[in-house]
Amino acid sequence: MRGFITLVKKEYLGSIRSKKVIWLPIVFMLMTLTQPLTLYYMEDILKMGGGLPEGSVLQMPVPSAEEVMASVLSQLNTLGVLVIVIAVMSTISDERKNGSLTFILTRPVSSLQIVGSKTLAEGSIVVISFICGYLLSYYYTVILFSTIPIQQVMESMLIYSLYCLFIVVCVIFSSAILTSNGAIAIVNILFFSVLSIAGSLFSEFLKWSPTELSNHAMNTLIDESTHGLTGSILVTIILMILLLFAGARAVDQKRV
Amino acid sequence: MDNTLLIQLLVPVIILQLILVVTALVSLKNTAYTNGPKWLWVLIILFFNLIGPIVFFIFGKRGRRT
Repeated sequence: MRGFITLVKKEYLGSIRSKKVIWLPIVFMLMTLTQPLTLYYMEDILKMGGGLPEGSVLQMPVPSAEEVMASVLSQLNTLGVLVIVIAVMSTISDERKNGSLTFILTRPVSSLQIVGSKTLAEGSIVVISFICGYLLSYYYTVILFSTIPIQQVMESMLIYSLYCLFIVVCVIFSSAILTSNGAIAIVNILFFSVLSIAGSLFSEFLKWSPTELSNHAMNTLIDESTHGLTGSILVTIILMILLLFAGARAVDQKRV
Repeated sequence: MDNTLLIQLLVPVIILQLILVVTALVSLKNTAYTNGPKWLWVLIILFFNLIGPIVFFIFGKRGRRT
């Protein structure tokens, strides 16, 4: 157990050195902030951007506050996934390249402890960044549109946090089996985009897939339907545990 | 358009952007070896909004991160 705590501390120190603790929350906050702002000023932006014929009358429906928050989440589905993948991709593969992984494995720590400590450290940074951004966009939505019951926001935030954690676990697992950072990024981005497209095509067949969590998070905001939510959460947690153990095995086997 | 409201809303965005750019520049100054010339990174960080600093933090440093 002491080895595990030391490893977690080492991971946090590494994140502070690479300034990840600073830039990841800021990037998330900026990404989520722009959504309520652009939706609120959409009419003015369209007018300034030109392209509208003289005298055209624009009737923009004002989106409800729930729809604004849902659109924040759908923006995170594309850009946020990309940022998480890029931020986490090099955790294991870089250590293997510069030899520090081999050094750590000579110490009395198991590979599961190594993978677990990385997951805990990176996952907590990513989830806290997401929560910062989400709460900030909630604040803006309340100012610009109208208030939403905080309970709904919290529910969707928890569901989406689990989804963020799942992305982190996936990226760390692929970081353990692949060596090139580019390959890790491409594999993960393809995996998540294919899974979410498949989820929208075969919604009944894949209703328990982890990518459906983001849809569930949006649904809790808009119409509070929780069809298939428990199944999704269970499947995601089971997959996360399996990927953790598989990642630990991969670290053991690829010991150079 | 209500201008005072707009300014009040934009101030946090500008502050966040500034923190990001300043952190990236300080980190660049303290890095001994970068991928590519340093003056190019200064331009990238300053002129590519949001994407520039991220790209620097991930691909800019050589040595510790390969």
